[in-house]
Amino acid sequence: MPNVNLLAPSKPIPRGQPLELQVLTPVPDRVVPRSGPSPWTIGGFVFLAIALIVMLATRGTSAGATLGLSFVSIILEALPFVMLGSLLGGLFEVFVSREWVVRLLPERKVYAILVAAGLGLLLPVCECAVIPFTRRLVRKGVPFSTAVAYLLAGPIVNVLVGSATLMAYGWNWHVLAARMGFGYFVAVAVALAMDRWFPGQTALIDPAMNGASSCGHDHSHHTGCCDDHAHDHEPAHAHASCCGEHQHEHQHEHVATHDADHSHAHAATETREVAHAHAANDHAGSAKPSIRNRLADAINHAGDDFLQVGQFLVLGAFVASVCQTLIPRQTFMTMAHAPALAIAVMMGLAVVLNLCSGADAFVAASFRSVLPLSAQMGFMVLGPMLDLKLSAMYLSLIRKRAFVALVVLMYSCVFILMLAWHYLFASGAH
Amino acid sequence: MNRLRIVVLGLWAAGLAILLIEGRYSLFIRAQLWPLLLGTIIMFVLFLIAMYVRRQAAIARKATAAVWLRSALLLLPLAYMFPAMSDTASASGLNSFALRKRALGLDSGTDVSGGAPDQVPADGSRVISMGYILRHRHKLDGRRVVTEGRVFKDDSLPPGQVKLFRFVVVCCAADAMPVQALIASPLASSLKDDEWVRVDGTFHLLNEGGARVLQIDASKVDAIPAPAEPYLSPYHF
Repeated sequence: MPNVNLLAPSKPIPRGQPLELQVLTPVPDRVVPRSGPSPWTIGGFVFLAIALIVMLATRGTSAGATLGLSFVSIILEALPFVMLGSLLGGLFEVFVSREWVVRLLPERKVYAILVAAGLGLLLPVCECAVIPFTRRLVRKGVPFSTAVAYLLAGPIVNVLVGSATLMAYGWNWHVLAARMGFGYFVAVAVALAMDRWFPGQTALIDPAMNGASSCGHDHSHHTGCCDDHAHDHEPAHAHASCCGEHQHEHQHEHVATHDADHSHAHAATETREVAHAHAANDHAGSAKPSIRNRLADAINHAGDDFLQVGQFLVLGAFVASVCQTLIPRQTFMTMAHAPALAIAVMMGLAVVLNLCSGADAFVAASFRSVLPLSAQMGFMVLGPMLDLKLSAMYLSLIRKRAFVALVVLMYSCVFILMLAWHYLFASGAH
Repeated sequence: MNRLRIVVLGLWAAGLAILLIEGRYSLFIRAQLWPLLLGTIIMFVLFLIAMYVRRQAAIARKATAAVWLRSALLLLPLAYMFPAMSDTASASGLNSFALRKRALGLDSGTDVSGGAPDQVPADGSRVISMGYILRHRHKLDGRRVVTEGRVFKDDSLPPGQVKLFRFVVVCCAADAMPVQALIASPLASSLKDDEWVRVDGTFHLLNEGGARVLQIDASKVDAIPAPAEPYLSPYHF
């Protein structure tokens, strides 16, 4: 019987051959309660209550209007792109095999990272669309570090963002080249560092990506027993990453790429490591679904991803709107007298404002009269990689420790680069 | 869960359809971006159709607290959206409260026009946008202009002066940037905050402490109804 390492699938297992479950290494900081809502769920309800109270308390006021308009506008702007990313991910999940993906990637990790950081040129989407798509990339066997390179560079190194930057800066090609170059460089550097600190898929909430985060998740854990076997299940459980209640021995709702009915057991430890194994004959004789069903499965996957990522989008967008409503931008200007402070402050502003990478260049350009170009550039390079709504969505994908490392790496990398650029090349530029 | 999912997706599709049909989406996103909204509605409908197509594969399950939470979170923006469409404070878009948070002092704002061709500045015979004035500020200096915007009675201004402002939106109200001008008029004290007005007067470009200041010495200030599109677009400045 072949051993199946669900974390690192290497080659397909012949159909019909029985599988042996390999026990996965427990991750110590992820102890899962057996019953009762998780702190995350309770916190979520508290957040919801606060959001509703704020809505009622500020209704009809100018502050309430600003909050409501900002909050809903962030959601409306992000929705089509989150859905587009989810749809691309769903199609990718159903129609692209893991083997094909693994074969397509360069063997050397460094090359794979270098290629992935430039993928935005082929798939020009903003940061909202990148996250759901990246979830599927990782599920399909793309190494986490490679996915990080795409995740960070994709929203900057793409044609749409490039043209918006050019327009905002009056067709100044130097600004465009600097933004693209810095975006690419930071993405590659952070991806390489993350690969060193979190090798393999250890940064992921669920290394096997059995539903990247929480409730209502999807599984793609049949590594080899049948090609592209992925399915969803309405959650009889929710993973501790965000929603708590982890009950096992559940039945799955299969809506994805196979029609044959089957059930399977979960081998779960206290640490929510979940491995699956199917009896060999589970899929024996399973018919290949029709194109119509496969398309429906792809869209169902997209729906799952949208619902999964969407809740984090709402959370991040609300916090961002509160910041937009309460904090005057003038406050940031009074803090930004020295170049280093100006860069740091503008990077902080990028995190707080949560702008789309297609629009942030216009806002950055509005600071031309008061801040150096390096500070504006820090705003434009960090913003598409890190803001409040993105942070919430990252947490649907990666563990808290990895998230902290990612944030520290991104922030420090962009800050150092901008400071060096300012003093070496752009000290007088606005 | 399936039912909850249908409710969430269905409510979103319906909510966005209402927003699109009533034309109120321009409160939140740039008016020219309505196809994105339409695409979103189509996607929601596709999600529902896909669920229907694969309904036999689905097994009904009792929803957990976490699933209820997720559904409620996803519906939260709708709870904010409908009041924002009807409340007087937000029915005309971002107001003077947002101006105070987003403006950098008296500075007029940045010319973020993209793609609009240079034209001969107006001669006061027709209404021009505040964005147009900002873009052609040098050519318009000392000439008569007629423009429209909202009023902000800033306490820091001397008597007889108010601010006139509009927001320029690239994608959505979250990225809105103000364009503002000082209005000098004996009628200033009679104006109200957030009131929409048409101003007819002589334009001057000033520099106050490094800040670029637009000023209109108004001979006439008339209240007007709120425009259908509250924001300016950098592409239709």
